[in-house]
Amino acid sequence: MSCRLKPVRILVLAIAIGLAPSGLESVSAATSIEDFVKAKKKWPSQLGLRQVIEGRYAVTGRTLLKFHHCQLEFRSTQPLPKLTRRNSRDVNVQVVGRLRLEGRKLYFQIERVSKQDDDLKLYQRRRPTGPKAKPADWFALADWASGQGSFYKDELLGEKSSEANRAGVSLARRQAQGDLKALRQVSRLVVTRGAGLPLQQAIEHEALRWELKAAGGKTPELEALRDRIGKGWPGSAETKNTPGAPLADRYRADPVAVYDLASGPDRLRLHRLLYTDLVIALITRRARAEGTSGYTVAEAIRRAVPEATAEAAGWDRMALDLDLKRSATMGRSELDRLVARLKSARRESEATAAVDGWLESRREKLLSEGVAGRLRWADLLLSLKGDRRGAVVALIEADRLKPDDREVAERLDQLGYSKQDGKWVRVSQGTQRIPRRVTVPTGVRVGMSGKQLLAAMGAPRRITRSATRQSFSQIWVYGEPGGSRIAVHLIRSRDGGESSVRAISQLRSRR
Amino acid sequence: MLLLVGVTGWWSVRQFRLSSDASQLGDLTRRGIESLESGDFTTAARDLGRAADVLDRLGRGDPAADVIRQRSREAGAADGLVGESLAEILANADRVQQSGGQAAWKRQFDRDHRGRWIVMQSILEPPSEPLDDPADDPGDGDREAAREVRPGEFEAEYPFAVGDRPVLLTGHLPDLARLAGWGDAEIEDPRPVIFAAQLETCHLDPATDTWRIELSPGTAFLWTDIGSMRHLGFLPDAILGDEGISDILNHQATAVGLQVDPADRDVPRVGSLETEATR
Repeated sequence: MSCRLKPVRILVLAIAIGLAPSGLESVSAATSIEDFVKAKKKWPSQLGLRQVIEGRYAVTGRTLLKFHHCQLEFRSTQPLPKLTRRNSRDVNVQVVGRLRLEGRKLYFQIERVSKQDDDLKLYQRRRPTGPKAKPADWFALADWASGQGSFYKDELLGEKSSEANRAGVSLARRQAQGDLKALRQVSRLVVTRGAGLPLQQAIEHEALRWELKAAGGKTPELEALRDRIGKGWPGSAETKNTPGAPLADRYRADPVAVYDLASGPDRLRLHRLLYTDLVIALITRRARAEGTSGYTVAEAIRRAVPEATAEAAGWDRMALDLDLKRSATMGRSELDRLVARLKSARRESEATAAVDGWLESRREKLLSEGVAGRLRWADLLLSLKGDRRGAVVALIEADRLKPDDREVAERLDQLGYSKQDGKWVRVSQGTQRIPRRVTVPTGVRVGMSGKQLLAAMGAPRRITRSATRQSFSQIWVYGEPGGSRIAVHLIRSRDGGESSVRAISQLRSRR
Repeated sequence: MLLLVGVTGWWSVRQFRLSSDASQLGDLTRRGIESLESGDFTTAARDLGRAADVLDRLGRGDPAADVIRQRSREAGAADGLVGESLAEILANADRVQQSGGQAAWKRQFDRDHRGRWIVMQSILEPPSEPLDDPADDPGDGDREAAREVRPGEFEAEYPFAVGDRPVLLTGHLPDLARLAGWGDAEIEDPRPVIFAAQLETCHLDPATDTWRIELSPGTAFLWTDIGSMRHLGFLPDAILGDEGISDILNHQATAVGLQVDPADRDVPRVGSLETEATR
């Protein structure tokens, strides 16, 4: 072959380069140098067959061309056209020709060579951006970029492959929106496509939100989801992951978008929020169904979600408000509990109002019950309001009704009063003391029924009850733990007969 | 060879008996729960005890099995109740003690009351001081170590003076530690606890001049079944009301870890348990 190129042939070759198909069209018809090398064993059988090879050249000479990672020489009978390079990556060519044998040595006879866009340009052009693009198109591009990147050890192409995988997954996720099964498939796709744990977590989260929505108001489904989140979503069971209010508010407003953009630590916080919101929702749902009191709900919330102090306090408040409305109809022990709760919630004035209302609702009736009623009224004034003056007035009235009643006299004595010339006067100012039942009240006696005891003494401060083989035993304790107390032992049969007082004893103060 | 035949035979018989017992599980559970609900504690203890035994041999640890085991314990306790109230036992103790001394009372107590059950509703508190246990007393040097209180260890004032002496009930109930509010000194009006336990001793502690009733280790458990409460005499309750008792039992069921169907939380129905038992 002549070493000099004829001008006509150069022109033809140049036109061939210029008109040579490029991009996708040529890719489909051509064999990559990678595949060509892989099929090396078949070369002897391909002698003389026309082939189109493309790839990155490593060396070019006047009539010689060599590809990266391929030892085979590509020779031209004509001088090769100058292959201009805009940059070091711009080395893609397409070669048309045939395998030939020279002696025992194989070589590739170039018939035509054309310049190709480099792999990055090709990648950009092949990006499936149209409305009809499918996730599979992105994954095909990712596979191509991955193969090229791996063959040429080109990290940039490897990154492009990841980018294409992520784009494909995102497209698949958009298309699967609202379809739980499809979202789960996309989640699995993320793993096979190596698109990263954060993306997989985001899709799992979106699927979970759909599951929550689909569960609607079904408690068993919601409970199963709660347990799954608690066991399987990292950080959800740890109170240290409680999110701040801004993050919680943003998440509740737009959970999927906020989760997608959240950092790793923030996602742990969102898992906790997701879990606790569900736990609280289930507690309140069950409470509504069972008519449980607000205090019980608050307690359940505090136990299950210790950080949810505001929610628990809200339920306490609601229960207190409800109790306040019916405080006048409460029993004594229930009123005591309400007052204690109001005080611990720093609602002292309402506690006072509840006590006043409760006393007022009983005043008329007790004052119509003669001496016993006034004794009880005085007790109530002292124990609930510390109202010594009111108690003294009631006791003096009782004394007028039944002069020289021993119990009335004892109480007035305990309050620092003495009867002089038929008139009660205050004595021993410095030794006044809060009256305590240091002796067994005359109103309590062995043999009286439980109902009579209740009427005479009101509800006990504390009760201990126990069952034996034949009977049921109760001990009602009156008086404050720090002061003097009496214990009344009642017995009744186990089948619900009337209780009767069996014994009365004085207890030591308990501090 | 003989050994192989023997082992195979033993294994076959064992499997046959287990299979036979398992087939009766539903009936045993139904009969046991019905008996418990009707107050026939002897039958309930027998049938539920057998059901619980089968469940143990089957290795069942599901929620329904837990409920049956709990009901079995409750039926056993209700069937083995002590014959007299603690107040009566203490009054008797005081009398015997004065006439015959501590040893005479111990003999009488061991004969009549030791190992018998009490079912009790009381306010329990963590011990204010360590329970005296001379065997564990490490001496003065290790006093602080000896003061450690095990979770669930409790004491209760039995509010009845014998003569002028107070009475203290002591025991150990691990589930207490899971009870909401347990040991919270801030709670002014603590919720009472309903529990069962076997009596171990009742003796006068000369150091504190206090009568001490000790409950047998490992026997105390929280009560959860409201159906049997009526037959034991706890209902009706004039002070707390039935709802108050139900509330206590529900809290205790949660602490024990029972999962009772929310719709039937108060009284687990026979049918549902029977079905669950035969799963």
